[in-house]
Amino acid sequence: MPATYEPIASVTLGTAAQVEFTNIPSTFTDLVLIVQYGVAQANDPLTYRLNGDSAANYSNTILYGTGSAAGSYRDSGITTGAAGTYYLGASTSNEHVSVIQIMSYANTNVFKTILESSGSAGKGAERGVSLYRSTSAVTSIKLGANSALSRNLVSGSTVSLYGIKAA
Amino acid sequence: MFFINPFIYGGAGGDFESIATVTVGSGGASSIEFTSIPGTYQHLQIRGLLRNTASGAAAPTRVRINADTTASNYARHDLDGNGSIAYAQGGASTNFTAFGEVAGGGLSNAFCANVIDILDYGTTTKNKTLRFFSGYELNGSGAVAIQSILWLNTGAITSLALVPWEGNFAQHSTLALYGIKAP
Repeated sequence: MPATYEPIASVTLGTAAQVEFTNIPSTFTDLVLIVQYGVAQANDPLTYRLNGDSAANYSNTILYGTGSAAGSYRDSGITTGAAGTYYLGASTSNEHVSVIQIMSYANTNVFKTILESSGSAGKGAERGVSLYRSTSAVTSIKLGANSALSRNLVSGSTVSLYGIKAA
Repeated sequence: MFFINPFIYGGAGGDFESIATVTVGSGGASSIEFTSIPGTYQHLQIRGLLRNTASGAAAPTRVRINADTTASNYARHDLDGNGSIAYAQGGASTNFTAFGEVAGGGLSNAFCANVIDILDYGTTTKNKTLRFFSGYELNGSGAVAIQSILWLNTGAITSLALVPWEGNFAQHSTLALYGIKAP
């Protein structure tokens, strides 16, 4: 039986940088990003853009817990999707972990809904949903830090992309 | 910046296998059901997007295991975030999730994403727990939740249906069933 859950690409950063996956094949059903990373500044979320789209076509609803409080917030009409939001704080030791699931990424009949699970020991945990208001198939994903995707992930961050293929 | 052109190096076979996929056509569907689920896996996972044809922005989704429609055989608990507050809810005799589908009045082309794990679905010594990770975002409203539904029955799961709260599942709703093998 052909593989259903396949690795597509992976990188470990040797220097602080952003990461971009391009030419993503349309042959899968869902994409899964597994990111172990750090951000240099305390209020920087892990953020991403799809298909190079920097317009205000994203929105996020987040459920978080910090160890002393739980809450939820929303950002609408923004220029990035988010995971591992700023409640996780800064980390230069790559202790943040995010799993980002892009559902039906190649389906041209639906906007793209993304589920994320993130956590960082001693800092917090969260679940989030993001919407990318485009029916275009996702062919590229760019990840970095800060709500404007203008900062880097720290050296040693690892980003892995997987594809899940339905029957 | 680090660019990567992806390459596929996955080999044949694996322990995460696709079993079946249902995608709703233009006529809608009164439910999505997986039947004759083989007992050869350790766990199941269902992944997909749901939207219904009724009014409103979002709606719960009913669960029906092995054709059991008796609400008292189910219970639910969930932890939710609605963009303003985090809250928890639950109770016995509940065979539906807090939410699982965008309703027909929600943002066009938007669906609720669901990843549903059923661990040890084939065991005959445990009641069954379905764990949902669900979320929908409508650019101004939305919610994300982790939800558990308990089926008070030790029978092996051989069929599982999701049923819309109102109306039908809309076109392009889709659920894919996967099996996970133990070593």
